[in-house]
Amino acid sequence: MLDNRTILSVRDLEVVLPTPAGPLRAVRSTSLDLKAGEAIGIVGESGSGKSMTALALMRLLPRNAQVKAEAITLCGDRLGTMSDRQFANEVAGQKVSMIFQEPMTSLNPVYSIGRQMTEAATRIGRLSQAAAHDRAIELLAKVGIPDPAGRLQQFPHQLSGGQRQRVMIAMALMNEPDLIIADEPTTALDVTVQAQIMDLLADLRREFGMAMILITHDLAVVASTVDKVAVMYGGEIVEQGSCDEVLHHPLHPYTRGLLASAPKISDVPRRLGAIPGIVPSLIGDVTYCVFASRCPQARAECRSQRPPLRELGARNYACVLTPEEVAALPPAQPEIEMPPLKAAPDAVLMQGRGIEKVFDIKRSIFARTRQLHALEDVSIDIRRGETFALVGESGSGKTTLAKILLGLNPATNGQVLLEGEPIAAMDRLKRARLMQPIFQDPYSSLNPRHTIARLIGRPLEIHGIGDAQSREAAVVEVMERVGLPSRVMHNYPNQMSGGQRQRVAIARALVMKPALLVCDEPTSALDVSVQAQILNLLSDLQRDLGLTYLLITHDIGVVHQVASRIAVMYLGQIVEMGDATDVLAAPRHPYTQLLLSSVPELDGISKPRRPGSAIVSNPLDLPPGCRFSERCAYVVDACRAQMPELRPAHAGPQLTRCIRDEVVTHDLS
Amino acid sequence: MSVETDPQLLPEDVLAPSPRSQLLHRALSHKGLLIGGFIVGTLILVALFAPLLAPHDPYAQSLAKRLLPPAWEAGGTWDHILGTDQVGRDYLSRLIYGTQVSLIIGFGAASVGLVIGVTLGVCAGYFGGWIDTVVSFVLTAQLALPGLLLAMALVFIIGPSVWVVIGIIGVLHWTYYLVVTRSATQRLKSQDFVAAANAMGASRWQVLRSEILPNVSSQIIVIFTFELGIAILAESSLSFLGVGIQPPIPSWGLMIAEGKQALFFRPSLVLFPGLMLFLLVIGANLLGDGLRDVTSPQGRN
Repeated sequence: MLDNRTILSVRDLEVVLPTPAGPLRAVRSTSLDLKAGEAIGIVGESGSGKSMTALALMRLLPRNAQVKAEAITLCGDRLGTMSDRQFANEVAGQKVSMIFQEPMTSLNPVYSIGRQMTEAATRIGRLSQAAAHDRAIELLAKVGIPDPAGRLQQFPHQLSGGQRQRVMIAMALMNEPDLIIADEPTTALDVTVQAQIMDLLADLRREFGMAMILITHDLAVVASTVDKVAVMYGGEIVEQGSCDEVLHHPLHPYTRGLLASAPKISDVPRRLGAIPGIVPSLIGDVTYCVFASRCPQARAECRSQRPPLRELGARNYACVLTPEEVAALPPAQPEIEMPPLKAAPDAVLMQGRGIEKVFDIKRSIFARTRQLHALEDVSIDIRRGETFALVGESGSGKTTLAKILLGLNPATNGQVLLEGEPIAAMDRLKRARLMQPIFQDPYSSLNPRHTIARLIGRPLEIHGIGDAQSREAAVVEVMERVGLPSRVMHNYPNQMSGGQRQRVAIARALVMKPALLVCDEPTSALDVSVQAQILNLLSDLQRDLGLTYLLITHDIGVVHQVASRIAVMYLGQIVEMGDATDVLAAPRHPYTQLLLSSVPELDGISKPRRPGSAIVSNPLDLPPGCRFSERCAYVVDACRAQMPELRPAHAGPQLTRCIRDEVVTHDLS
Repeated sequence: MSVETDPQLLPEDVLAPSPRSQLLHRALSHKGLLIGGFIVGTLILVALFAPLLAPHDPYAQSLAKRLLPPAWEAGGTWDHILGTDQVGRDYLSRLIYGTQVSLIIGFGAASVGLVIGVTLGVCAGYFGGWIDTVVSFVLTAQLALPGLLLAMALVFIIGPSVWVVIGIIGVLHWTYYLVVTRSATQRLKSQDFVAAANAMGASRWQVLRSEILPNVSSQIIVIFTFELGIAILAESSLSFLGVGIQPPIPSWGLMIAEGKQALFFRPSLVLFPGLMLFLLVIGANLLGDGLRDVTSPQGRN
């Protein structure tokens, strides 16, 4: 299928957005070339202009945005001179289709799947209604939707997130486009679903010979999917080349920093190489290197003139450093090993005993009450000084468990003991002094009406500790500890970046000097370079203050970086629990195996994917016996007969909830 | 200890300006706020210093000088700049004294509604459950009642006075506060900062006072200024119907009501109190929108 036809060629694309503060140059002199069947990944952090580039190509930018380009050609058509009407009739949805990030909102809820899919083809008279219907069924089958003919009558709310994204992909394929633009297609999805969607996209690309632009913030996703990579920063492509070369021999300091910031899964955790600072504002003319403000190798000339674009065969990068100079640089990630701290088994700080949570679900006043078992038989010990990670995908009950452990919600059954005392009976002020939370989204965890100083000092105020002066001193001290300059004291949260806000949240949690921090996805709302800063900070604080962390996350990379022990959750149960090294190296539960093998890795070597379907059982309608039996590849009749217990694995030091773990184990080795 | 300081803000000024001076700066650069503040402030001053400003006694009748036109029209005198009404009372003096009544009723009734509506709304939104059900029922019941008719009946039973009118208009105008604060509170309740406050041991009252209320304040301000106008108009309606402010007390609404008999040959009798009403409502709305813009988190930058 592959030929050397150039599908897309973009020369010097510029996007300017007028803002009250002046023209914002969101994309500058960006050039791309794409051959038939080729895939390019555009990677970068938020604000780098990667989505703007895609929207500019699709003419989806706001009306007041100015798009200029020397030339944009798609399959030989010059798009630059085309009218909007002609573009809509001849190009959009036919030669180029787009897949959006959020499958929950990109389908229209009031039309059936079938109508939305066929409309794209019948509107322009490309296919008859009947032919479009047949093609829709064929494509739904191809993207792995069971019972495609029946699904056509269904509405988006009847499908899960992963299924909706599959429908979006099928819809994008209706007119056999030459180019697909996928803007973060899997960011909103669980990792097991992500793995399947990425596989699907790769298969379809091979089969139809389409070119693809994959836009993502996740370097590891790119590594296993595309041929070429373009790294964007501050509205420019700073480095471009084949996937292999860019990811393994990066030349631009930004690419090097980005790669050093990402937690690796394969070796002993080392201190992450964080890129300090944030993306600068791009208002007005840019007559300097955009990365200079954050670059460890910046020189005087970087701040006064544009860096040269260095071409090396098929790759190029924009930096003053020559490839030889880059080769001589010290590694961007420091060679400091930071193994997660281990704790003595008897030094238990918090204990959960047989925790159960049942929600009564009622659709309307007259409907029958149904019970949703959000948590069942959860027992954990968190030891003083360790990082205990609760791992699971959405719907696994990990956040419900966190709320119960924090004492914010009561458990239906079971008990939480903090320093041996039941948390339900504990005075709320005493509880607060022992344990503090850090939430996922630093935009919603800080009251926008209070200043930073007030936010951090608030716990002291509530507990009536000290007077105004000593409180301010305590605030300044803790701000310094988390790396916040004291001059931002009077700022409000919306004047700060995501990383700074998360530092404020950490400072607020620390000001009471608690023993335990409950961190609910503390970095998943942050860019990878900021995530590295926060993970380093949390590790430093743990070592300096002897803190204990309960970390709730879906990100295996983060777990590998900081966790001492792990509990893997699936549909409200712990399915595997043990030392992080044991569980990550040799998982004994089929779900853990599926989860770990779904995680994309930076080295791009695709692992043999563990078998198992990605369709999660409905928590209101659980299968009999083992919860995982519907997805499990090792399932036998005995699995469906009785719920397995969490017990020591046959071949390994961890606990597992699988009756056939020796078979599973055997299969792995 | 090795913590990387975030070097993103420029290391210039040692301390950012204090919140108060920032607020002042934002307020002074907001045109709508300044204009609204000027109008409302002037009217408040006029109300306070009415005895000094009014050229005549607003109650003094003089049948000889009935229905004088404004000074600039034929037959007008500069002694009565805005002319006189049907019983010969100086119209400018009545307008000036009327400011007192209108402002008291406007602010009073809007405040009474605020207290009722915000209390119910925040409680219903925050606690939910049966409290929410009860409050929602009360709201539905209130919405089903014909407001003006009820107000008339109540004034008729209790007897008219300024305070009764304030109370009754206030008691009938809390529904907007309730609807808005209830839904805003429901949204805020699920935000992480409320969970964080609970986790740091804050009591319910502390959560309501320092997490919820500051975040609904902008909505409250906007509704307050809106209700301020509504209350003054409601007072006009009641006075117009004869169950509001009783003559001879000068109130703008009552003046419009009295002036309507002479609307065709002396339109200024309706025009001037109408203009004053218009000014106050516009000023209050500008002030409210300005306060919202200046104090809201989005306004800082």
